[in-house]
Amino acid sequence: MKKKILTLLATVALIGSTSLTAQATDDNVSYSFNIKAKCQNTYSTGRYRQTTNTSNPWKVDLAYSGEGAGTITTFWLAKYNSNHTVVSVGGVDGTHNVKQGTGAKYYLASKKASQTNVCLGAENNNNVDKTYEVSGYWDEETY
Amino acid sequence: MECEEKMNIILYYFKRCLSKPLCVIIMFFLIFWPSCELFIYLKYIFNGSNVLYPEYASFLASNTVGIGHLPQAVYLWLMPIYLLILTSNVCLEESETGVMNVLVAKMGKKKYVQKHLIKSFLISAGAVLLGLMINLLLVHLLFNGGSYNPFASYDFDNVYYKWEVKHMFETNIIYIVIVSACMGLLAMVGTIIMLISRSQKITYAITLVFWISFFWIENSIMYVFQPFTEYYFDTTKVTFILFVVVCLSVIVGGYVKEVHRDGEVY
Repeated sequence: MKKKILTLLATVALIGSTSLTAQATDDNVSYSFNIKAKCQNTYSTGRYRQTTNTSNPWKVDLAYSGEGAGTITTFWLAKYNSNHTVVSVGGVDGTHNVKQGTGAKYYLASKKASQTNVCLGAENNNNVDKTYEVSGYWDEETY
Repeated sequence: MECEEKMNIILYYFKRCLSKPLCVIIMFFLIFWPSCELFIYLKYIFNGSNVLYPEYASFLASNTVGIGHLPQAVYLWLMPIYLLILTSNVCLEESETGVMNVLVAKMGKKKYVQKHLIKSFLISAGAVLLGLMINLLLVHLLFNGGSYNPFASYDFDNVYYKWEVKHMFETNIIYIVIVSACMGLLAMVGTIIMLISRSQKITYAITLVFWISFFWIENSIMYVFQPFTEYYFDTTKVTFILFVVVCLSVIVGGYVKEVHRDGEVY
């Protein structure tokens, strides 16, 4: 009986660890949202970033942009809460310009992004009052 | 002699402009607001962010992030309101107080209208030029040695973009001159509409609709004002030329209409 319980526990632990490992791989999570006009930022839905390793990058791929081929949109990683605190690092205050059609870009995040829900933040790099759709893939951690 | 006289009248309007508190506030705003953006960049550096190339931190380059280019929106998007208060309201005052009739009788309608147009251009373009040049100077002083280029990861196969990146300082200067000249033209449009309509409501409505129509078209006038972006000059020049041509048409057409107005002293 004791052996059976131990086997059961081992199986549960194995399944649990496998699922956690799967979350932490380089996934392609699709996103699609409108870049808002009138100086507003746009945010994707949240995902749990499990890692505490700040060298584990997040990624974003701007596959389609309603602004046009080869245009730029600024992305960053933010906490998935009402403040949307920027948790990515590098670039200009943690934000990075991504050009449509150039594949996945990998950027680092700070310790504030460890074991918390994060989301993708975005805005137009141009000083215009236009709404357009963007879509592609992202991942909150890539290994 | 005539040039000196023109300068005197412009100085007169400039002093008159500075005698009104609201106009002084707007003048200060136009001159110092672009440099206020530097506090945002300093905050980034304080947060441990990369230090931008000075040219990329200029006000017109619009590289502050996460706030939807709010500093530029407050300054550039709403520009006609500032310029109308600064330069056009005086025309209405002169009309209402009867000063206009005295001045027209003294110098003729043509010269009167010309002086108002020249005054509007110089005060508006001058204030914007000064504001953006102070910003560029401060950017070079504060971010001297900065080396981060937010577009460095990408190739832009365009002759205008390559020229801009190779001659960044000259590019900023050219864009500053373009923006200042466009704002001067916009102020002239507001002034001529005010001289024709003699109504604040009509002038503000027409000038705002005029500005918004260039702001919301497919290739917005704002692309013309932002250097180092994926909207190259071969795309933006159409809007720029259209804006200049339409402004000049309105100014010349309005000038002809105003100097040939029936029943007034020419």
